[in-house]
Amino acid sequence: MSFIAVVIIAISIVVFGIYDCLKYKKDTKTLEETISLLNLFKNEINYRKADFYNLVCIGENQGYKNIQFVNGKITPLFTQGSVFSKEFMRFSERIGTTDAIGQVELCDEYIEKFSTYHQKQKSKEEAKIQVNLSLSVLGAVSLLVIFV
Amino acid sequence: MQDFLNAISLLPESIKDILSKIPPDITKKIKEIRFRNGEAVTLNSETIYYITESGLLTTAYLNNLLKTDDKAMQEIVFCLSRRSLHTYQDMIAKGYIPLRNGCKAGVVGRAVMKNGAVYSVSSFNSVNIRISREFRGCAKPLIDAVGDCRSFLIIGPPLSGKTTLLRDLCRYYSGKECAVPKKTAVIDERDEIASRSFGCFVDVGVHTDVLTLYPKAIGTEIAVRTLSPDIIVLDEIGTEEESKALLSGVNSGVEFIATAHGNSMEEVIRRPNIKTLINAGVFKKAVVLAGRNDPCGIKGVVSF
Repeated sequence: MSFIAVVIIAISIVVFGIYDCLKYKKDTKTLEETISLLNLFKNEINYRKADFYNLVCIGENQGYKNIQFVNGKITPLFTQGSVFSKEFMRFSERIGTTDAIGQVELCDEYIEKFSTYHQKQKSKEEAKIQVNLSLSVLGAVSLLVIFV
Repeated sequence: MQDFLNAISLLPESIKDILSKIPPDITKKIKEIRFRNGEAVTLNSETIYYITESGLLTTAYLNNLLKTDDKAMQEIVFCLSRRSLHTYQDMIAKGYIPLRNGCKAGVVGRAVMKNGAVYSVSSFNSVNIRISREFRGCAKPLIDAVGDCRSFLIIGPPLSGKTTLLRDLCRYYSGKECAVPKKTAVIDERDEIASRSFGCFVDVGVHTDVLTLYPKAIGTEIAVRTLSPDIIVLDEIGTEEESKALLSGVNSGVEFIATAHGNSMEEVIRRPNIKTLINAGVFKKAVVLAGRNDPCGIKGVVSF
């Protein structure tokens, strides 16, 4: 196997490891912003009975980096297909379908859910980053040793 | 055509697409769009029209008419409430949802009661969209008829143009046309007069303050205390609470222009609360409207 190809593969393994770590961190950050957004919604519905489009405007004005507000749709930028995405979709299907008390309870339910996810995510974050980076560097070095 | 498009703008896309195919010469005459669970959609003008699923208008009850079922009615109400039933739950419990540009959707179904009052509505049976149209200058004959008087009651049955007249009166009294513009406060309990809730502003005059969705009695009290109005405008008065608020306001030197449902003056002044207001001098004149066949037309003016 040519030296260059092996080096490229080795670098790719390391880059993949770093990318995986960054994705994980991004999900953690997105969870934080989602929890903040849901708290905002809860307060606006509780105090002003704000309608859906008002909630979108208010959310957009907060400057969240990991939540998209496009054409009246709210999309937290979780990893595609992740359990967080699915849960948020379930939440968004239920927005506006009940009275104000029900909507506040809905927000509470999902604030609790996402907070639990966030706690687990945070507790595993450091360990995951270390393991990921170590494995990817080890993998890359092994490849280099074997083939070069 | 634009009034019709405004009225249907919040409907589900599938229904909106069908209704927007109706030609402008028909839409300008349509006063109401009615949806009934399990029945064909009707468009009411002087003639009752039905519409097919392909968007063809007909006066005959055919087989392929556009109909609404349970699911469609839920979807219609959800869309009209801008995907936010929680925002409109109080209004839905009272039987309406305010739409854009002064249009209103009457909403009824299966009432959910709580403590003796309607708390919410489940499984909607009927939705009636009333199309509001702006007719600038429609109040001119009324203004000429009442002269310098600014304390009067407008009496008319449904669809006789009471709210349309109120809007034009606000524009006149608080605008450039009036020799001395008046500070006007509109107590818009159903958001029909000034349509302020949803970003579509109806012009009600330069010097007009709008109290949107305030109950009339509370809104009148607040307006008198905080806005120093010359005139307060209200739609559809009649309760004892409203009557008390107006009596209190008139003692502060405020003039009132209000409307009341009724086919004739005799019918309206028999109501104790209205009679009290007339006897107390809150209203100095009553304007009786011609009715739904001549919207904004005047049948007569009576002085008290």
